Amino acid sequence: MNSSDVAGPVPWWRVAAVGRNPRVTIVRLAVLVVLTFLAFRYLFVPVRVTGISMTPFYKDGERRWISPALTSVGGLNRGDVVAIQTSGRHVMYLKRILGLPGEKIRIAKGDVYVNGDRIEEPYILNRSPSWNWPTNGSERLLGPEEFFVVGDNRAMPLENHYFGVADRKRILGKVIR
Amino acid sequence: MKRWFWAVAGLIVAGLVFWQRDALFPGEAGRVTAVLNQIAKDVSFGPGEGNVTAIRRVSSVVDRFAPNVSVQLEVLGVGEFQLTGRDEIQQRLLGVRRVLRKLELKFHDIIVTVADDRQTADVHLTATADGEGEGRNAGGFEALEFDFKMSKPEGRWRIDQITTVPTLKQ
Repeated sequence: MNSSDVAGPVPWWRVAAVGRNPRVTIVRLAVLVVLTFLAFRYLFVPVRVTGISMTPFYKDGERRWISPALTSVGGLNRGDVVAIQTSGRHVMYLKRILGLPGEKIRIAKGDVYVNGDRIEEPYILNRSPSWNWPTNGSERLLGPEEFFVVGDNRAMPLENHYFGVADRKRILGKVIR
Repeated sequence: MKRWFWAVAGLIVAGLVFWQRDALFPGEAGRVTAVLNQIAKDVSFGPGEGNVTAIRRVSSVVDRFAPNVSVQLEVLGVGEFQLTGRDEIQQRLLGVRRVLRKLELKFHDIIVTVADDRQTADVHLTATADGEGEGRNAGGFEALEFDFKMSKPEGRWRIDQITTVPTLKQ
């Protein structure tokens, strides 16, 4: 015989509010809060795309998901779209990785060259031939923790497109959807 | 039941107090953050704001800068430029109001490091500006990282220096 038998049936509104066993409900709630926090911090970070630098595949106003945990497991590869942190997570840049640590990069007439070989970029619809980087015509050698990142919209003027070399510690994770 | 109720209520209140600790018990870092958020609010403006209000708000912003303040900005599509002193900042702020119909400036992820003497502070933040204007190149969305150097010479925090932090290196 438990206390509820002695005190009579538990009112329906109390069952709806805290369950039949409040202790179990509180434990469930605590576990749920912790799991939700961990999931949205390390597994799936929601982001909203602002701007046109990643068009046509990532449009202004779209919602996407970043996964720091899956990035830690799978690593970063050429072609991955990643979120790059600023002073925190509220504002991040969405860019595509084109150069990996230790590689030499240059852009000539809109084409990207890695260690002297032009790479295929099927996700680019239009590219401006005025894109040249570095501006002195040389190559940029990436350090051991550096990735070369650019947006997909190469039709926009070079001076209006923010791109360059990102440190590994700034890359939060890959876009997974 | 009652014991559990009060335990949960206590935990919720403790969580809320911890979450809002900077607002409830503002230390120097909280005061610096409040000053910066007020600056962002005063720099922002909407369509149809009167001249008197505009001048009052710009003056309020300029008052938060040191007389010999140095601002080094690197804006995409605009290039690198430097402003020195309150007058230049005032002229630039009024100029922005002539070009744009609307501007919303926000500071995000404000990291404040106050020195041991509590008279100076280093701030790292991300600013976003969302503007609307008439011309082809007027307005748009911009996000930039900045380092601020601040000091409190007469009991009020003010900005001594602003420099743009490159998120991506060249």
